[in-house]
Amino acid sequence: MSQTSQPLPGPPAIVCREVVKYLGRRKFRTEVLHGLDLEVYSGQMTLLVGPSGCGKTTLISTIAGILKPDKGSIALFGTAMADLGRRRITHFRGRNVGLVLQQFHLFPALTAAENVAVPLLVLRHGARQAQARAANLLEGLGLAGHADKYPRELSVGEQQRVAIARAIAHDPRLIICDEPTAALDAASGRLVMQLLREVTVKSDRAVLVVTHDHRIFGFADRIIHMDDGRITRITDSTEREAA
Amino acid sequence: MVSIVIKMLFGERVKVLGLVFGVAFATLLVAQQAGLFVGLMTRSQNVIADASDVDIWVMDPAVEYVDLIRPMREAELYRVRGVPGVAWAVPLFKSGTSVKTPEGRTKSALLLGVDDASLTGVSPRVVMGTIGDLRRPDAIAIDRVGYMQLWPGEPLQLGKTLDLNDRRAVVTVITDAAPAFSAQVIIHTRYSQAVSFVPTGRNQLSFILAKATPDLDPASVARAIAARTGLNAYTAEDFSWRTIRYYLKNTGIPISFATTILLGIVVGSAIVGLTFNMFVTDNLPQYAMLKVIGVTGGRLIGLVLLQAAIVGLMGYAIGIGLAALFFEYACTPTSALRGFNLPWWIASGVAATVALLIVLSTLSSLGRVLFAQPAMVFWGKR
Repeated sequence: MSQTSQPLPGPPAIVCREVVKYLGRRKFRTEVLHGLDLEVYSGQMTLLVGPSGCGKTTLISTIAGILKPDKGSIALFGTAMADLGRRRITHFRGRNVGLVLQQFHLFPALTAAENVAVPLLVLRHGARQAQARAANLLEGLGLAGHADKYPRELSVGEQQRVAIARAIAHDPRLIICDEPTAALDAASGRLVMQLLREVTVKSDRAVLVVTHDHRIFGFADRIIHMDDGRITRITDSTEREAA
Repeated sequence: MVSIVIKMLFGERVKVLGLVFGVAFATLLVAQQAGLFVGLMTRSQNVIADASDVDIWVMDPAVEYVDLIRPMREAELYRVRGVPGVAWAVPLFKSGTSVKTPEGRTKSALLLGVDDASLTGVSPRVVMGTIGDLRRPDAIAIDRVGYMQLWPGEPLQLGKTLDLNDRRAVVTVITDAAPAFSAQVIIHTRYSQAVSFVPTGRNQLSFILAKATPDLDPASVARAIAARTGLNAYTAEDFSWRTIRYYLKNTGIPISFATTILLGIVVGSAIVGLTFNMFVTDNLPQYAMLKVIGVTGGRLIGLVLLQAAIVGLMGYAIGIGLAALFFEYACTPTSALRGFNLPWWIASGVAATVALLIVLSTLSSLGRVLFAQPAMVFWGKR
């Protein structure tokens, strides 16, 4: 039984065409993505799954404009990333992409609220406005009493919720989550995924979750299977229910 | 963002302390040594500084600086007075000697004999008595610190006597004369009396002090004096710099101070550079995360430089404060270190040096920040 209510897919948020990416230099240079085609839609939670080393992280790094594809093209919300310089890509990412990382990468010297406010401050929002938004988000994620705590004072689950709040603070159109349940037990993993669905999936937003945790496949509207740098199969929730 | 990076900086207190200590150490060492060096150089031309009313110094052509004496004939004074553009010219006798108190305490002294009539050349800073009291028989003016060394613990008092080469001298004036390079006691007296205190050869005139007429440039008058008399004639400022340059060129003083100053810069740079490098290395994942969140390389460099500037300012403030305290409390007007101070331009120069030190120390780190790969946040490098 699927744990998702099937939203209607919106326009493609991510369009990858024949993307090739090499990693390493000289004799260690390896082709990691082999002419990959992919579309990810707004209004859905899409899971990118596959075994370790199949190129999932390289793909999302390339989609987020952190790595540059060696061949092919990537467009986010109709903007061809190749047309943007490094500086404009950084600005574009800051405005349009939120990231939840496996190791959270919260800033240890900042409180939970300050961590959440960082993307807004980067976008030059006022400090007071950013703090208010951060407080709202933390309250919405059940962390109202933890706003002034430092990451070291929070449990792993609480840190993850702070990371989620930070990823959505600036209301980005694309959220990328890298292995959000890797460090969690099954029950905690389910809670995190439920939370992610509740707070991130919107009609004008795409959510791309990288995982190899099959226990959370039920939360996906669409699952893209990868192996050896290629898309091998794409399934949606209706197909899975039928199966 | 500024408050965020400041918090990031102070999140690592031990490293911040290391950075601040490094900068403070370098600032203190450079400022203190530079202050002492400048003070020492200023002491070398104390006689010139005290004769503040004098435009032109005239001397034997063999004399290169104020402490080298080659006496001239008395007639030279009249020749100088005859040069057009000279408003007045007076003699100055200068010699090293020793003085002895009736209690038997002996000190080296700098004896300066000034024009009997005008008393030009006596330090204008009088602590006790008046300059006119030098006209009394056997009268001398002694500097306050010299007095305190000859009669330690005793209150300043006029009328004390000294033995000067078996001649009696009476203290009628106590001055705050500019400290000398080596002598412990500075004595001013009338020219006629000075030559009797320290008998020399046939020629006794050490220098001729002259004033240019108000309508003429002292430098041009000095050139005219040199041309007409064959003597060396310099403006007071020119002679001061010649004296300083002589000491710079012919003594080990500048090398000694320069070595200490350079050590301060090198050791300070090493401490700051290494600590800042550690700070940046530890924070690379955070900088990478900021890039992921949307901070451009240029803005990130600006933020890291801001962190460095904050550390630099704190270290500089502490270092320059400690240096100022040293000069305030160790170099009081009554101490042997009097005259040493921390002029504003040394403080500014040290600030520029510290800024350079910070930039040099952070340059290598800045490259790592600029090229910090945002992708490292995905691959979990900490």
